[in-house]
Amino acid sequence: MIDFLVYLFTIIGIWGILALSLNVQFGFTGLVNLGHIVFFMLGAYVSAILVILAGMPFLVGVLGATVAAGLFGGLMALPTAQLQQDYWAISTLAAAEIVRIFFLNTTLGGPYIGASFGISGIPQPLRDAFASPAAYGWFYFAIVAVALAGSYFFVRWLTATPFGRALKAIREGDEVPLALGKDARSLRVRAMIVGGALGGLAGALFAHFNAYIAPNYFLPLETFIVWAMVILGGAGNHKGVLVGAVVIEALYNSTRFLAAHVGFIDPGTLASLRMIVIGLLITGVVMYMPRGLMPEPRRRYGARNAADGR
Amino acid sequence: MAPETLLTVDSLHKRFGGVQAVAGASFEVTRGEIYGLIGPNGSGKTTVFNLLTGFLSPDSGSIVFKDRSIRGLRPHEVARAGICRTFQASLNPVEMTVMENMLLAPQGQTGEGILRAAWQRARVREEEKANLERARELLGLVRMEHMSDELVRSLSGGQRKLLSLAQALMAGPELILLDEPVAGVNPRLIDDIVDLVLRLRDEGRATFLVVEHNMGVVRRLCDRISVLDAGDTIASGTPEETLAREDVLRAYLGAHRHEGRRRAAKAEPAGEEN
Amino acid sequence: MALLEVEDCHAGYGEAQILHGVELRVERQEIVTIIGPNGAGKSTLLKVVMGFLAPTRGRVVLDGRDITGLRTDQRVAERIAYVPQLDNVFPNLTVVENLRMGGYALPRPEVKRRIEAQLEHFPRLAERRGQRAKTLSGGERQMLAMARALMTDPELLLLDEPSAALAPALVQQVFDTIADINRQGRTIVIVEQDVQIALESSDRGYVLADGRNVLDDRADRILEDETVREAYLGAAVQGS
Repeated sequence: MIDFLVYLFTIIGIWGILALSLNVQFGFTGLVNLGHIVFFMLGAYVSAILVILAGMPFLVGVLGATVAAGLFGGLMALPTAQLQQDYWAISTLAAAEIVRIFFLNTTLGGPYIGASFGISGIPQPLRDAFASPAAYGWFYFAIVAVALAGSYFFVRWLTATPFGRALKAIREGDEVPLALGKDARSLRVRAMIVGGALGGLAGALFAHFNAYIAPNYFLPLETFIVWAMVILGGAGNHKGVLVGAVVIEALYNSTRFLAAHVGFIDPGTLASLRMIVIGLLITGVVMYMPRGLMPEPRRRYGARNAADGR
Repeated sequence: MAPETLLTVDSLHKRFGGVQAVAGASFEVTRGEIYGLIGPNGSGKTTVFNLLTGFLSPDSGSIVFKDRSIRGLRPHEVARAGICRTFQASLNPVEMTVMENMLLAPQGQTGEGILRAAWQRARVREEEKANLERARELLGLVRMEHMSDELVRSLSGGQRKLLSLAQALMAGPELILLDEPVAGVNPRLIDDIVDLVLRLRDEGRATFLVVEHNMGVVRRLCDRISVLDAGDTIASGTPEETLAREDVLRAYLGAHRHEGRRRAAKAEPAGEEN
Repeated sequence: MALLEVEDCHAGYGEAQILHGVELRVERQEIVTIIGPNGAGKSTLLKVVMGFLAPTRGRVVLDGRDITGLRTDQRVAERIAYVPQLDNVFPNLTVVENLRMGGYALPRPEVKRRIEAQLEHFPRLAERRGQRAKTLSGGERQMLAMARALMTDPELLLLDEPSAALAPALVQQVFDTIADINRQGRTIVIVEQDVQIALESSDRGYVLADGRNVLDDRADRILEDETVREAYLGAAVQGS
């Protein structure tokens, strides 16, 4: 049971970083990125390729993954000048599928590596230093926890800067920020780079955790899961989206327990039902709590006397 | 001090498909004055604003600001050059507070670059503090300091206009373009806004170019005006002398548009148009 | 008895109250034009008559009946039709389909009959019956919008700035059409920016400013009246 919880919280940590990444892009900048899973995928594949095929150490793999995903994010943001919001959203979906289909059809370094076979045997860092899988589980959980903490404090700082404020401003339209001298396009590109990089980090962590990745792990459905976390938790609230990650992942992984208690539904059906439950949950949130469990907090500067202590 | 020309607009032209929206508009704004741009509906006033501020690019004509051509600059570059505009429909982000909107305004903040924000944290903090002070002062000017932590969504139309004005001042431009500053505003507030702009001009805070429909406001507020009709400047001068002109009245009544045609119709039977 | 009467109308949107006691009277088969500077409340008045906006005070009386409480679709049934200034045709539907939308509430055979009647009356539209509305010229679109409104065989037709965004040559054509429609026995109320041509084509006119009646008179007399200048350009000498 403990081992399961360690596993669960490691997964929650990884998806939590993904949720933070989408929160920067959508929660703060208003970018409807329907292809968000592409960062997760790029991160996973780039890290796996760097480590397995190029023999790089784990940290280089992770760094490479973060950079590659960040750059791809910037690339995705470039058409925003030309495309209206809805069309850009569709183009992000297309971008994610293009990358997935590319990896689906490309063998990497050998006839049975990559493509639909996926990449297996992704090395887990320092695995040999630990005797039991259980002990290693704790170690990797610690790695993810550190990465999550770092990500959380980073985005929290970032969105509190004038840069973060400019991002919030372009959320509702370019006109006023442009009239005040902000380069809206540059802001969007940077938001996509930051979000992309975080997504890539999550992807790399996942690849080395799961030791196996395949294109069907990164279907458009997975983007929906991240969106569910952000909407349920509260777009624009970093703690909120982490709460969303906990709830959705817990739900997603709960079937093995429910199966025991709900004997009349077989485990297969139960697994399918969880998507229905998530869907219903999101519908309910959008109808009754559109700002999520933890809505975006208001930034207060206080009255003159309070702030200056006069 | 000799009057200095701040903005020269010469012979602007802009076409949208089959419609010539701006057809030769020309005028000059002197530093320290309040200049008005008026004209009937569809005369191209807002298009001129969009052309001046880079939201649209002119087909031909020149726009010179402080002896430098700003034609072809993108909107944020025009803002950085020293021109700030407001919008007819207050477009301020409603999910942000009044103070956040104010803090958004200053140009070239160190904290707006990710790397700079990370390397120069102390400087960012100092700038924020200074901006906060200035924002409070300006909000005090428009008597909105008690609302500084309110979301813009809870402000009334008139309050949003005041916020746009304070925000424009906060950006510190030399020329402020006001697009219908009293449209949809409570009549009692209109006088306050007019008084405020007059006071700002008297204190030398900025030069103003104003598009306005309300003639009472135009007469009280503007030192000089230009009248646009069908995209062309048909008259310029003080409000008093300009609004007394016959051709200006006819422009508003649409009279002149049909004179030519009626004369032509008498000469030959009306044929197919297009 | 007048066909349409608006009494002591006060209306607006929340804090922005636009009309302050406006009155209007339209006799059968008249063409009445409402003019005034921007923000005077002309379009708002039409919206109140059509039921898009409920007045906070005042009444709208049609042929002696108080219709102030009726919804817009109920007023259509009372044979009032309205052509808005913008978005007044469905751009991706053809001419015939647009007309069919105008006859939405009518029984099918009746719709067919009326479509043909409209097309007979507007030969230019008949030539383009299968064309999508967005491919029509501005003047043709305006014609289509009016033809669509006529599908319900209205007694009273309300037009909001029919000349807006049209070249002067086309404006004349639109007003010729309006005169035509009036000859069919219909009463027409027009809100217009192009004062000259509107008053030339009307029987009577109303001048509104700041949500109030300034002047109403025979159309040909209004243009000569000094109060029109004041309404549009403000008084020559301001107090403060």
